[in-house]
Amino acid sequence: MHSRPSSRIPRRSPEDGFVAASGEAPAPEPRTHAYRLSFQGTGEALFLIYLKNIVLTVLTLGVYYAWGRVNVLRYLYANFEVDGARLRFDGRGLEVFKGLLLVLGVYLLFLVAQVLTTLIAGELGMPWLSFAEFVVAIALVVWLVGYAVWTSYRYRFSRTLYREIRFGVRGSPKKFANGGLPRALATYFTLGLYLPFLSYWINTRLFNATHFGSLPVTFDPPKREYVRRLYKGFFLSVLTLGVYFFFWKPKWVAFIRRHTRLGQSTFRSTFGAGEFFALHAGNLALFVFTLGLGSAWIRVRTARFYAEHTWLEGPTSLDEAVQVARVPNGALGEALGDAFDIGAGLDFGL
Amino acid sequence: MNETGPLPGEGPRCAAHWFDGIEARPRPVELSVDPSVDPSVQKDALRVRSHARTWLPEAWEVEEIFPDGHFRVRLLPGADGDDAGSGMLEGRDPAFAAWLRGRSRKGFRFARAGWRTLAAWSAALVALCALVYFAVLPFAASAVLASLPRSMDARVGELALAQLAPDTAMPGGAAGEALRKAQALLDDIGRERGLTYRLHWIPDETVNAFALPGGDILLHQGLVKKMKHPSELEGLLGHEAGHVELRHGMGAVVRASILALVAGAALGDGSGGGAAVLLDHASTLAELSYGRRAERAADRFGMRALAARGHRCDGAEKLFARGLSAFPERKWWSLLSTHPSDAERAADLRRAREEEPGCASARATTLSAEDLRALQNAP
Repeated sequence: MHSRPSSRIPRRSPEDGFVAASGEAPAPEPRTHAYRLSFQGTGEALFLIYLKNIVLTVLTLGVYYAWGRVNVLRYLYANFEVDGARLRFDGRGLEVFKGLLLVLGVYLLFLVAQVLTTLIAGELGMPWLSFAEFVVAIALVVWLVGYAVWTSYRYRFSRTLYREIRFGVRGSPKKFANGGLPRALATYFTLGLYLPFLSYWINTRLFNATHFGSLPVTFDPPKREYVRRLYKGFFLSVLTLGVYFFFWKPKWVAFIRRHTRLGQSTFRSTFGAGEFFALHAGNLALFVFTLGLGSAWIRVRTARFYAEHTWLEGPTSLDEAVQVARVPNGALGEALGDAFDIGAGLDFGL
Repeated sequence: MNETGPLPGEGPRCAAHWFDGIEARPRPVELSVDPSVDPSVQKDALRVRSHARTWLPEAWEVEEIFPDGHFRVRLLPGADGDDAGSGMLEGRDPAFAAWLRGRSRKGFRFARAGWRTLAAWSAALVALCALVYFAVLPFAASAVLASLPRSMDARVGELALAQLAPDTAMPGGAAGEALRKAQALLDDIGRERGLTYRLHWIPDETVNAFALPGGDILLHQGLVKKMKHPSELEGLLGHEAGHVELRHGMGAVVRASILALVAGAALGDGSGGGAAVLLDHASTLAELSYGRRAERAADRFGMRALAARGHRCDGAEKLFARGLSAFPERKWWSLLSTHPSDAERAADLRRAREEEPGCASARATTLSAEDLRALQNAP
């Protein structure tokens, strides 16, 4: 099963160094491997999973929710195909359920702490205690969000396999949350102006910690350009009442992919503003005309769109990856990510 | 792992890839089913043949089967711990996938979403929603409502009042005097039940009046302008007092909160805690309908409360007979409505009045025609 460049992948010119010029003695060149992604899922199948999940979740008074979530992820991941093989999500409902119980426990602790502080503050006549509790609670929530970002990202990848080789994320969520806390507060106090810097910090930390078996993922966009593109995208989108967003987002995705490598190969993405607008207009129409019931088709369309416009090319063959020791981690991350509504989809509609 | 001889050439077969879980490199293999193996020794013997060797895995299980024929089969290590032939088989062959479906109940078996399957699950969902809405919800709401103290009604009403009518003020002059009389009537109705009603005047053209849990009653001038006799205003006040006494507002908030919790659980939004949801829905009180039964019960409560004081009982009946609400006529779709039509309510009140012995002789009103005019003309 050798990799073959798809016909949809743009042909490279000799100047690019990918094709040897005819009539000259061909110099030995590193072989280029190109892998095109595709998404094989259908809206009907996903809708059926949604239906089953809702029925069973109501019947089990919410307990089935964790299993339902795993079913959806399992279906979505298993329909991403690269070079004839598909991704596999091997998360389990029980571990997500345990994670959700933990999150519920943390939430209850917060509530109890809040009630106790209010009571004590009232009893002792110390109104400043409530303010102090507010400040501590904000800092703790921000820290927890940072922890959740890392652990949910790590959970998703650690439960994802391709050709039975596991993805993984190295690093400490505590370190990430500690580093993220002052940056998140800076974003808050600058009314969001610091957000592009925070985004750069988060993405470089997350992507560079990721690996596919023995093949590392590297993400190295120039910081100035990264920040400049985000500022430009935001301000021009606001000024043009959102119109510029459809021109900006394709370039942004291409920029992110261009600076993301697996081994020595680089991700690529190409789609235009028209295609991107058509995707969103179609999704909006589906949502409106089906009164939200079309969300399964929206998710499938989005996943297919991003998959079909993404490929990986370069000297690294996916065959080179070998399994590495697995970092143990639970599903608390998935549950935390769910509680804080954090996705780990990397622009694939997951 | 049993080394075997040549393939028998029978049973389903297909090309697949074998992944050993150590290297990402795929190994092309051919899968077949060996019918020559005694089923009592090994059921559904799967034969795997690569270019280098052929083997019969001691145990295997389906990992995933997809509607398009894509499948994954996990090869388990042998009983003696030999994992040389273990790993995952992955391929796409609708016929082989169909054979796998018939052989194993394990694994994720994503079904083809045919219209019959979709229709069956959709019907199950609709039936479940109906069951929850019409059977579970009223039962659960009654149980929750009975366990909530009246002080909770006041708290919810207070929150709703702050959002719906943050700055209501009593007008001065004759209109103010008329409202004081109306308030005195409400005080009289509430006294024997230990309830406190607070009347709030909203000087706008909205044709509406409603009661909040705890006792706040909001009266829009627009509705008063439609009245022709002070007994109509008294009938309306009695009706709203009935909603408070019978806790219809609080019941609607509890029902909406339970629905939100159920929907949140089903759709995966666990953000709402019980109390938080309860208070969130306080603000939607103005849009919540109480249902046909509740409206009729409030109508009758108001009529009886007025009859007990020797006041005219036909005020609300006349008001509805003129058709002032959003449901003026009886149409086929009114059967689906949670609100009875004005005509239905007027007829129901007439029947109740005829059955109520005190109504025949009750002619008094607290409010006079001058009071009503003062309210209608208030700035």
